Amino acid sequence: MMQRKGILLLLALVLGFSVSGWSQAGVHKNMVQVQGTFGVGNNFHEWKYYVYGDLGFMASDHIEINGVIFANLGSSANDLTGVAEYISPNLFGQDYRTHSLFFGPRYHFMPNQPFDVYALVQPGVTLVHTQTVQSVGGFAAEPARNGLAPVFSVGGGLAYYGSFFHLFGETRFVAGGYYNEAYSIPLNEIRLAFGLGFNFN
Amino acid sequence: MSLQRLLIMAVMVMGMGSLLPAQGFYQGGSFALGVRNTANLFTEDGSAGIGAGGQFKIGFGPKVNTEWFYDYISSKPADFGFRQDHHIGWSVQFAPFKQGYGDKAFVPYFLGGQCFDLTRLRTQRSNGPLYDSGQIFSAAVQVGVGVSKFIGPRLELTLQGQYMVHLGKDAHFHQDEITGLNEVEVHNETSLAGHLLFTFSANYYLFNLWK
Repeated sequence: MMQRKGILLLLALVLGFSVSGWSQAGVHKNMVQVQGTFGVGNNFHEWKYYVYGDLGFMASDHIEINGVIFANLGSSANDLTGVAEYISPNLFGQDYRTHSLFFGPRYHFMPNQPFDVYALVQPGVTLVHTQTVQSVGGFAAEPARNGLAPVFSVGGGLAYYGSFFHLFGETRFVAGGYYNEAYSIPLNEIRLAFGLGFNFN
Repeated sequence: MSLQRLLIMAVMVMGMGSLLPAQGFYQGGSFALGVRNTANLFTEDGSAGIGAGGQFKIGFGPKVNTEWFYDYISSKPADFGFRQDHHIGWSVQFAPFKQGYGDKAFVPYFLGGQCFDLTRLRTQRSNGPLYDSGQIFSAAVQVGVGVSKFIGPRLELTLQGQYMVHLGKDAHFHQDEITGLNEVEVHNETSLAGHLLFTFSANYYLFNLWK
C-alpha cells in the first residue's frame, strides 16, 4: 500500500514537472537538471574511462549551482611506471584509479532558448586508489594506497534542450597532483563527457 | 602544468567575467557560500601544490566583507615526498575604492586575517627510511591583496594573493649533503615560517542576515 502511494506520488511529481515545463525550452531559473553518461579523459599518456554524473540547480537564468562525479572504470594502460614522476622498481605491476568530485558554478550564456553554451570553474577532489595488477611470485612490492588530492577544473560545454531531455557535450581541464611519501602522480587531464540528460522545469 | 600557468588561467577566467553583466546585490549582512582553489607557492623548502576547499562569507558593509574558509592543500617538494596542510581561518577584505563590493567593475581589496594550520611532511625513497613529521599544529596570520568581480547579482568571483606566516614548530624538507636524499627536519623550538598563497574562489550570495 505504501509502495503504491510512493509510486503515485513520484508519478504526480514527474507529471507536475513535465506539464509545468511543456512550453519551456532551454535553461531558466529554478530548473533542475540531471545527467548520467560516460566520459573519457586523456592525461597525455593514456585514455581513461569514466562513468559521469551531475546534478544542477539553476539559481537564476544564467547561473547553475552544480556538482559532478567522475567514477574511473579503467584506462588504456595498466602500468603506473609510465605515469608516476618518480620511477621505482616497486611500482612495477601497479595501476591506479582516479575518482573525482567537483562542485561549483556554471554560467549559461543563452538561457530560454533550445541551444545553450556554458562555462564552468569547479574546484574538486580526486580519490586516488593504487593497486597491484601484476605481482611477482604472489608478492606485491608496493602496498595499495588511497589518497585524496585537491584538484582545479575549468571548462565549458554545449547543450540542446527539449522539454524534458537535453543533449550535451562538455570538456574540462583538470589540474592537480597526488603525492605520497614515495612517488607522485600528475592528475592533469582533459576530460570529455557527452550524452543525454533530464531537465525538470 | 605549472602553478604559474594555473594562475594565468584563473586571471583569464576573471577577465572573461568582465564581459558579463553585473548588478549590485551585495550589501551589509549578505551571506554567501563558496568553493575555492588555492595554489601554494614559494614555501621555504621549495614545496608547491594545489588546494581545494570551501568558505562562507558575511558582508559587514559596502566596503567590508569577511571570509571564513577551510583549505586542504597537497604540495610536493622539489624532490619526492609530500606536504599536507589543513588551513581553517578567516580574513577581513576591505575594498577602499569606489562604491565597494558589488560594483560592475573589478573591485580591488586588501585582506588580513588569522588561520590555524595542521601540517604533515613525509618522505621515503624505495625501501629506505621513512621520515614523518607527524601532525604539527601552528597558528598563522595572513595579509594580501585581491580583486572581486560580480557576475550577475549574486555570483562573485575573487582572485587574491596573500602571504601567510605561521608561528609554531618549524618542519621542512632537507637534502642530506652526503646521500643527496630528502629528509624531514622538525625543530622543536617555536619559530616563524611563511608561504605565498593564491586563491581563486566562486561565491554565491544566498540571503541577508540582517533583514
